[in-house]
Amino acid sequence: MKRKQTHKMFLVAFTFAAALIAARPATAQDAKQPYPTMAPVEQYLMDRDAEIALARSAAPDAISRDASVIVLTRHGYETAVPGTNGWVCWVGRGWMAMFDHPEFLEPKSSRCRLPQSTGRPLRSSVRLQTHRINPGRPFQTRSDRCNESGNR
Amino acid sequence: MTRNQIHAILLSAFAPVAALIASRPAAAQVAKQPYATMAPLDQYLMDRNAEIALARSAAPDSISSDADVLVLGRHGFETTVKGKNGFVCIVERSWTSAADTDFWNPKIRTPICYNPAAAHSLLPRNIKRTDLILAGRTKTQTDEAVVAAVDKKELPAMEPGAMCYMMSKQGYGRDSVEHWPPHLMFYFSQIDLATWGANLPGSPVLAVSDDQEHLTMFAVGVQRWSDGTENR
Repeated sequence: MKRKQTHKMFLVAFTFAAALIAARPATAQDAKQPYPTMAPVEQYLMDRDAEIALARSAAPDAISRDASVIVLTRHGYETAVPGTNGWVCWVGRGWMAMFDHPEFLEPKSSRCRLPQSTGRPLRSSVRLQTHRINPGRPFQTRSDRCNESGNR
Repeated sequence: MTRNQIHAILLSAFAPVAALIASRPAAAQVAKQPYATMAPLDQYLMDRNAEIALARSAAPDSISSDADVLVLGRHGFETTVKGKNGFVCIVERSWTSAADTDFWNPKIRTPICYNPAAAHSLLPRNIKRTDLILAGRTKTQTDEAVVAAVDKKELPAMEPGAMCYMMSKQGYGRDSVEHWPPHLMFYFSQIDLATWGANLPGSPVLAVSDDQEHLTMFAVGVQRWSDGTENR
């Protein structure tokens, strides 16, 4: 990756983080929420191949090409591509932002589809509400977990 | 890999790591050592106020203005300014932050601000190393003493979250690379470099492990210097 590309990535990341932080106090005071309720689920979904490519774009090819890729479906994230290096790439949606962020339920903005790569140490996360990572095993869906351990 | 080889790589970092690693054997064969022995101590010392300012330049003012500041005295680092945020800013010298060829280079000045976790875990190693050097130990003796202290757990393992800021525009890295770009470093008690995707093509994360000290260091470049200006 060229130096300027790296800098650009940093700039985007830092700009977004700063925007998130800056927006929080104003949001609490602002009665107008541009996205007060969830949009139809279709608006949060993407073409599967496009989502895989977008997810992989989060990291250099040396990392993302061997990563698992999970994509959003009507019922949660599913493993679209099982990987081999322990990394997981995915495209986050608006609800991964702060709960009071004005775009929490925003379905379209590209910045609310944040490609992310998650390293090996992650085993579970509030962000992966319907999936769980087990080292050495593919993602499990909520129904898989219920089958394993009863009706949780 | 020794600690100083690690620093040589990280200092020159942000150039292709593979090229640096490949160049190490050649460097080891260089017969001429411009700094073969320790220079007179005075050459390593600085004006106290200048050292405080240089140490603080490692991190943005919002961090360094409330940090402890250590300065090098004739017998080791001394706390000159007592802070209140747990960070510690310091100007390290050649024996903790330069390549082997510059191990005794008296011009080396490396401003660093350690966060509280690193101040508790990494900094003690560098303070011990400095104490030993100023007490007249050789490089080999110092290396062995630090490694032994780590093994005996007299020096602590890295605390979770240990990191430092190295964003100063000033300082002096070594004769061949006088300065380095602004970056952050993260410390672990030896973990797999692949967990961070470090040193892979296109990855902005550089890393090295010191097997003897059970230490892994990651470095990530940042866009701006500590004064907010852009690194061009």
